[in-house]
Amino acid sequence: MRSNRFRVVLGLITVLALALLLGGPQLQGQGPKRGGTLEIGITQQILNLDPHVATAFSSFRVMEHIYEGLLRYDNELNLQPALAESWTVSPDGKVYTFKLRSGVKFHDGSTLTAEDVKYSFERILNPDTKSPQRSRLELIEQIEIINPLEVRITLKEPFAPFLETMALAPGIGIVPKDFEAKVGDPKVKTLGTGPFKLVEFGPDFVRLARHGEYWQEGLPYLDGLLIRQIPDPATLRAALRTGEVDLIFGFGVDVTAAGAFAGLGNFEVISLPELSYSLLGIQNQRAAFQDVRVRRALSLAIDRQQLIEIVYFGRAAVGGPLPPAVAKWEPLPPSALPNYTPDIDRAKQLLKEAGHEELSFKIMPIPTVPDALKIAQVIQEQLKAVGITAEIESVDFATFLQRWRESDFDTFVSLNSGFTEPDLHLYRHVFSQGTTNVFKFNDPETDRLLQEGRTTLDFEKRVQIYKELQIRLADQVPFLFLAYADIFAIKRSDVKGFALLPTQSIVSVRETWLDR
Amino acid sequence: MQTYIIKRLLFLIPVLFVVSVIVFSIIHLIPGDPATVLLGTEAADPGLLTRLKSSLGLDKPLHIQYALWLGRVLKGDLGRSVRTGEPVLKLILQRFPFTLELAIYALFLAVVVAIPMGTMAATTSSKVVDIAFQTMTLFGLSTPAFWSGTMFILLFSVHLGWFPIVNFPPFAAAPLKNLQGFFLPALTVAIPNAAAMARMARAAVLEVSQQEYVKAARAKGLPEKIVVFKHILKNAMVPIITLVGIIAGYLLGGTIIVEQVFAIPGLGRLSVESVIQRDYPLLQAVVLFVTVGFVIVNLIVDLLYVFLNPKIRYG
Amino acid sequence: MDEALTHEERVFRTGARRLLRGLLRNKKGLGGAALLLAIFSIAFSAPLIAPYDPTTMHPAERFSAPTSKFLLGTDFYGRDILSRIIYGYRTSLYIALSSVMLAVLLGGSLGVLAGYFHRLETPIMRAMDVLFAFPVLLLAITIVVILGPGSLSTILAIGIVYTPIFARIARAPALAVKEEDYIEAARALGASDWRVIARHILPNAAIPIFVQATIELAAAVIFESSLSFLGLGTQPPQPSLGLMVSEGRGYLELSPYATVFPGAAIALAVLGFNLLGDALQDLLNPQLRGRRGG
Repeated sequence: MRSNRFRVVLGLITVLALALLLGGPQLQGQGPKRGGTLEIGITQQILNLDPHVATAFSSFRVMEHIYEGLLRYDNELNLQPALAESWTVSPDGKVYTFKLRSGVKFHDGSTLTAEDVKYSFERILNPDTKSPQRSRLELIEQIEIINPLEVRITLKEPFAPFLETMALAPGIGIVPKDFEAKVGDPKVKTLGTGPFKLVEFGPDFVRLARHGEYWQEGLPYLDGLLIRQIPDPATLRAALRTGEVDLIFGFGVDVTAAGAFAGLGNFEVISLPELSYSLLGIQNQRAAFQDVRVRRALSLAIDRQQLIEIVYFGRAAVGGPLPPAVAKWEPLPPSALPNYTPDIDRAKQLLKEAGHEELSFKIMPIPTVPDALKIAQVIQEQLKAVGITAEIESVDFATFLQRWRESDFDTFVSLNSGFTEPDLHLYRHVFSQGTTNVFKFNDPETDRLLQEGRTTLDFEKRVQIYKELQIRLADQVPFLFLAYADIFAIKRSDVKGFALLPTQSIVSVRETWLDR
Repeated sequence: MQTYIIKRLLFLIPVLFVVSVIVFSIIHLIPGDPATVLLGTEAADPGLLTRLKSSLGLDKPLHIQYALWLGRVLKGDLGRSVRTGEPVLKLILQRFPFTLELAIYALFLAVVVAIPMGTMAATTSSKVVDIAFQTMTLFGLSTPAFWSGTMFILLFSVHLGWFPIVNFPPFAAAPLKNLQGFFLPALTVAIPNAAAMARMARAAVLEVSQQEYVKAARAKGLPEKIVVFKHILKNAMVPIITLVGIIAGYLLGGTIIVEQVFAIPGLGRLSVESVIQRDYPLLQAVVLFVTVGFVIVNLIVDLLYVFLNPKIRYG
Repeated sequence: MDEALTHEERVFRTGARRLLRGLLRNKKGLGGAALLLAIFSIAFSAPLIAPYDPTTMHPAERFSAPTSKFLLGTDFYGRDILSRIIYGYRTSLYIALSSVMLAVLLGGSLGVLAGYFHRLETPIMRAMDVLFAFPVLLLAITIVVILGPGSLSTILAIGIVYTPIFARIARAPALAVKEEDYIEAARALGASDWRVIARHILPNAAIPIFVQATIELAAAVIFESSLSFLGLGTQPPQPSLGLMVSEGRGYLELSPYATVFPGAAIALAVLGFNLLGDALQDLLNPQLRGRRGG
């Protein structure tokens, strides 16, 4: 009797609870709430905020809220107008005319004009700026101001990815004329048009506030943004769990972190395939590696799928020269690429033919990428099967950079940042004169395809050229493309409207709001 | 006494000079330079690097670079960080309060636990006390700080919710919140040091207890409390304070691992970052700053001896 | 025979004998010595007793809990934790012993020289002060960065960091003995400085140095683990206990075994050194000074 009544009460409570739950989303469906500060945790140090000079991942994740380009990528990596409202391209692909959005305000209240655009590009091109972005704009012959809201850029030769380049903010971001005179030291002071402006640059954090006159009506929703460095990944995860930060991503937020949060309520894991790829860099001029058969043997000896299972718990794609995530460029699957199907016997055979049955060399993992050391260990173990003795050679970051720059290595493991556009993705690494061709790879056929690819304007023709290039690269093995891993962000459930881009960009913060 | 203090402080000058020369030579021995680090893996073309190096003055011969640096320092200008372009003194002063507070807090916790513990272990024959002492010192000495720190975070912050993890408001603004926020890192720093201090305290107390005058005091039938406090502890303090002073000196240099685990922006992390990034001016300044701190702490310790044992005189 | 010995050598011999006898009667000392003996034999015979190669990966069985196949489970790569601990002892003890030995040789000789030759005292001890004033871990990191990470640079780094401790310990007995009348006499009879140092000073300094060394050995094991945590200690895939703890720490949520067992292994070794050190300290009592924290 008594227990029956208890059951009835329990049933009623359940129904009530269900009703509340179902009603919940409707209550939340009122649309974005304004205000609040989003606190983001990352493991890397934030050092330099000069958009044209900084190179660090962490700097980019701060600057992308402050500086904008003429174009931008949306969350699906399609090109969208940003500071330029519209543009035209001449039939020969050499003249680009951009019409600027009117009434765009910098954080100091001044208005964006064509002068600022010209100044920004000239600042990047000026050797005294020492901008690593310079090579991206080198094809510019002339920048003309047509009127305060129109600017014309003439190129020395057609350059198919030019529009994509214009979306590479903050690196190719727009700053006001006389930028340096206005801000003083651009490494620590900023002045842009972006949705947030810099308020405080602390010892291990950056505090940004809403730009009240942002050109896109109603955005951003947040009043503020705090990006702080928590160097230890275990502590970073703990700080998210205790609610001291709302969102974590970047190095140290990987598949194991995602696993730790998967079962917990109040948290959401976001993950998507990345454009960056891990690679085994090879010094092509070293005696053994001059022989393409040895490079092919390396590619055949390494079981990329097993490597992915171990290092990324399967959350990565075996990838060739183009990112599998960007379907429109028709990346070839591993089965269609030469030297991608592991084959120990063939690898041994090739080594034998090349006279390197007893090959030994060193692998230098980049110390700032946590997965690099794991990858090196797995490769070391896998290479034993074909009789190659690989020794792991750990060095600190500055030493790595110096030796990387001077091509002073046998092989190294690192991560190359990726792009949707194949020329941006490949050119500087594999072109014989490329700015980051530290591999000393020199293949005239590759050079020819690259050159043809960047000067051809027809999309379909370009897809065919890059298909040929993918095969060529897989066959010639300038270095080993290993894996395109998934990237992760973990956030509290009350953080809404946030999206991670495959480039690891978090520009979507301008549309993010807090449901509190 | 004054002349002694002045002499000791004057000794700082040659020490600082030697330290600066050593640091300068060492850091230039290491491969890699700040210009290379600044460029990262973005661009490998040599022209860019050359321009950057010459703008940072890195293309000049080493001894010229050192002379230029020394000249500026003598004028009171410690220079600017290569990476952030900010004055290094500003960066140091921004971070020193974190290190200072952590050091004082940890020392306090360690002393409060270690000295009674060591004294008890030396003066009683209780098995329980001995086992407690052994366990504590073993735990303290055998647990790496990166491990115990993580465990404390998981237990006390994540599961029990007693302490925040990365919340360090200035003491003046919110003293209680500040003490709460710094508690776990201070505890992590305190534990191994407390273990070392407790062992030292035990050994010192044991040693003093066997001195004739203590035996005499006991023979006179003085109450044990008076014997322990007036006769033993006071004299055992000298070696204990030496150790506390050494530890204090180290902690002022920053506790690299604990700062890393607890995300505290202190001097320790600043110094490691400056080595990793080859930020020469910054590293120089941090090391000099820490050396001055160390020498001053040692001086204070030596002066403390005088108060503890009037027989010691410095002249 | 005994006539040929100096006073200090006799003191040293009786002291050493007394220590040894004391140790055998002292429960702590005996326990510590037995524990260390066991650990050292494990480390020494690692290739014979380890069930697996410590670097072989079993990807299908990663993060295994302890089973009959893997007695202490497996780590991130599916490597056998037990085998890695056995080899890890080897690395960790090798690094600890070599680095402390380096510090004893370097610091000990500098200390004796400083105590014995008056004109060397100021330069040596001031140099030690400068070394002492450097932040310990920063000094070690800098050394490792210069030489590149690896066992050898870890040994050098820890050895140099510990040098001033032994310099201070060795100087005191040297100072004390030097002033004795019979030393003056010995020198008057034509004994060279080196002979005096070898026969009078070294025996006097040996015991306190030895005791301090047992304590620093424990600290060196921890120090090595701190360097490994920063990525600057022992380099993978070679196992060291500290490296195992710090590697496993990143995957605590997935498997506690990869860090708890090596952590316990460190604790055992440290316990051994501590017990032995404590016992020696008790037996020797008044002689100890100046232990370095950190």
